[in-house]
Amino acid sequence: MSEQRKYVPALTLALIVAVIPHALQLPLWIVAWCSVMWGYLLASLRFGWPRPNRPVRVVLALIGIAGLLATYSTRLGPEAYIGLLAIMAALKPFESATHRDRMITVFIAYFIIISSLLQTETFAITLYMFFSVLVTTAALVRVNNPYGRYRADLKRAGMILGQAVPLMIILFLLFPRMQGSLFGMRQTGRAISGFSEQLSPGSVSSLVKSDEVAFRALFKGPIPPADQLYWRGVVFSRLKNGSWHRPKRVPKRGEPLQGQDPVDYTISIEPHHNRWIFALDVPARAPTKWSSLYRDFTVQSRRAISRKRRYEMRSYPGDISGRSAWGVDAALKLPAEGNPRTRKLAAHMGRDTGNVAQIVERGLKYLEKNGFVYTLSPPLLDNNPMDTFLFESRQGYCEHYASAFAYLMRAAGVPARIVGGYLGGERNPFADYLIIRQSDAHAWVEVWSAKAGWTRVDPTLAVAPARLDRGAQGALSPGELPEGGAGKYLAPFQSFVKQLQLGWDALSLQWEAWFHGYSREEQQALLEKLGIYWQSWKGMFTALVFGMILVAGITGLYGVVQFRRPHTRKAPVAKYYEKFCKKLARAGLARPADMGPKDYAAFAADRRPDLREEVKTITDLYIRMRYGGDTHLETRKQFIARVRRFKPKQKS
Amino acid sequence: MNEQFEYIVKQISRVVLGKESQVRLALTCLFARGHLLIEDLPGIGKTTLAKVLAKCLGLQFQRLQFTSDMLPGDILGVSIFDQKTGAFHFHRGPIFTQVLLADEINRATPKTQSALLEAMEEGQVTFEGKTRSLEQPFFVIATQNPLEYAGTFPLPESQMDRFLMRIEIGYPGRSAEKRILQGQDPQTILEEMAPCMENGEVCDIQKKIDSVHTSDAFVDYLQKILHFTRSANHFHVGLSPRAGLALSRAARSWACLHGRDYTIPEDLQQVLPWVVGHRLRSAEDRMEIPRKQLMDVFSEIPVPL
Repeated sequence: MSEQRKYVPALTLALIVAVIPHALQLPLWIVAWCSVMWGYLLASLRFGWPRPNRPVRVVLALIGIAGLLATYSTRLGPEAYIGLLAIMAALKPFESATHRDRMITVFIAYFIIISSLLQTETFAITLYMFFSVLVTTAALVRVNNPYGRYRADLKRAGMILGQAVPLMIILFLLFPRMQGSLFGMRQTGRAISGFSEQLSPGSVSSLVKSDEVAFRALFKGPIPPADQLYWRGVVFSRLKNGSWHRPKRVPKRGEPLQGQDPVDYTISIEPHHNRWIFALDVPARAPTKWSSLYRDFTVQSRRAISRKRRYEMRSYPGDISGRSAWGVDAALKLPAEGNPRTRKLAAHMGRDTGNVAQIVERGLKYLEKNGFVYTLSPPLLDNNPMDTFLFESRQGYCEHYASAFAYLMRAAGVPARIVGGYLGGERNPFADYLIIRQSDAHAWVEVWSAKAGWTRVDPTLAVAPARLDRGAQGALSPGELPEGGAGKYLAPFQSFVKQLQLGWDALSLQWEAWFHGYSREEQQALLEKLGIYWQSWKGMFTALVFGMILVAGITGLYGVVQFRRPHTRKAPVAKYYEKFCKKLARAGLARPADMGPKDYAAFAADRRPDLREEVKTITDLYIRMRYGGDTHLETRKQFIARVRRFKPKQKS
Repeated sequence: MNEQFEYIVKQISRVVLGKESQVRLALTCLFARGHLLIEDLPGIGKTTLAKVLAKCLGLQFQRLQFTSDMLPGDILGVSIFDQKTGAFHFHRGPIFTQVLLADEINRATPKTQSALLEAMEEGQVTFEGKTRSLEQPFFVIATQNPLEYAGTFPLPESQMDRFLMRIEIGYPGRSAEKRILQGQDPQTILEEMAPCMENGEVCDIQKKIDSVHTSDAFVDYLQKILHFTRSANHFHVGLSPRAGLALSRAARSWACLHGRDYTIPEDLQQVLPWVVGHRLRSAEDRMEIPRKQLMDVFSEIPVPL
């Protein structure tokens, strides 16, 4: 029992620490299962309750597997594997009678830690993984040397990990980067909000309620002024059944755009499971090999963005020269009939002029003057939605304004289309970049004139000018946006919490830039700098494996030398034991010559109960080394240190 | 291992009251694949100890009372002519068992004794040219009465060597005897007792004991003891290498039963008097040395650091 106490708490702790990051993803019953098992185990150590024997353990394992099958049935994804690991990890510490069992438990803990990567690769998880590896390594130290103090275990584990750092860096830099996610598995993410292929009333305002980050933008130069922070995503130019669609076929644009005052920046985009790539209006070129620039000035990835990606962009937020006239014809199409009042208004606006600027001016003025309200919860629009919106309800969010304005312009004979994207963003003072959230989602209009090409017009600003500088939150009347649950209680610390969040965000971004940013291309670039040219990653893999075998061989050799050394240096152990005996002899407890070490410990402890613990520990260590075949350097060190420290004072 | 062993000791001690250390020694001897010689007066509980050992370990048990007119066939078995089939049939003797209690072994003639001792050593019986293996584990508990010498054939020293240990049981202590006198009949307890071990488990433990680690330091100590018996002038003849092996085996068994997978000097000290007692004779009168005196002599050997 006492034997168990030396190892089991450390092993259980390592498992608990390893499983914690999975707790949110695992079904509740598995979390409860683990808690009950470990709770019982620790309590049984404390109070001496009976521990399940082998048949009971087998039955428990079968129950767990049955539960797992019931939960996941045939969906054997990473969650099911992690569930299985957790169930087994809950039972394994009950089985720790032999050294082998304990080592297996440690390896299970390591395995659970690495499986965290199946779920996410965020900075927080990675940081936590370092911590859990430390704890598990400390448990490994304890399993092999149960006499130390926990602090010493942690210290040694830290040293081991410290020694592993160079290897880690080499592996990070040289291990072949695979295309795609780790283990070739798609990361399991939550459903993520974002733009869809169509824009209809409500599709933007539903995004605004979400606080989730859409992407982050780090500028090379200063952050452009607020009226230039239009993040272009999708262009909707087909009006059909009251909602706006992206045309089915948009041709790619071969050459990059030219312009003045380029702005260079890096975007780190969160997975949104669509192909849009957001860029400051107007993007100059496609940022990477896996994306293309289209003739409506949007950029799209070849595949849906299902994990974090980083890309470098260039945009011309100011003037663009040489604009393409693509899509002008489509931007005039309206349904044959409907919304008669809007058409009438449009005809009125375009009555005496063909000047696009003037018509746009009139349209904006109309919105400004007629008591329109900027709100997240407009009334429903029935037949002839434009008429209802423009002449009756006069309440809406940006998609209402953009949609009505585009309709109005088309009816007046001005080519117009809607652009979906984001407006603004929150500046992070810690690292001077912008965080663009779903709540910054926005829709605006582009009109075409032969003179100026496609020009951005934001009808929302005519109604709510504050949208530009103060974001949706500032432009809406108070209480329209839901407040976070915790926000209420944290109100007094709001600014502090905000600072904390921003600081953390900056740190995570830095981490991503460093960790995810190190792609295959960068690796190749680095290797080429070092003068290594690889035709294929297979060659590199071979070289790496070879290198690792070499390193393992050297380590093994060193280990053998270390392992053999105590054999040849047996005398010091006996010497220190003799020292220990002499110290006891000075305290009046001389060792009778024919007394073995164990009997002597009992003999000494019997006469000096105050020394019992120390005498027993030293003797145990001595016996382990001298008779038990324990050749660990650590045991020796510990034994010597303890003998040195041992001071049996004369009993007064 | 330790827990299981303690449990068995506890179970046996329910029947053999107040003789725990003898029970431990007997079990150590058995698990070391050794045979046990119990030398004591009649009525002390030799038979009960043998019976309860067999029962507790789930082994078959046979008892054989040795007499001077006994023949080897009485132990090993005989071939009898079957008139129906017209062939000889071997009828197995009492030795085909797992625990054999050989009561008063010194009453039988040397010829009969040798038959038993050879079977003990070889683990097999050769009769009329045919060899038959004995079932494993095979364990002989022999008893002899140290006081009655009339009409006995004392075992020669060379044959005493076949027994791993020789123990005495001795009179029970006062309180133990009171419990014996007041308590339940040992026979009834014995009958109700359930075996503590399953079939094959004894062999498993025996195998485990084979793999107990003996360090250099331990072997040094063992050699010191062997050397001491050969060089000091207390003894007529020193211990043989076979006795050294016996000591090592007994110490390993003791270590294993006490929950260790390596031996320490204390293990050796615990088994020493019982393993060497019947192998050493005094140099003065070539008589056996009383145990007390023997232990005094051995306490001259220092335990190496």
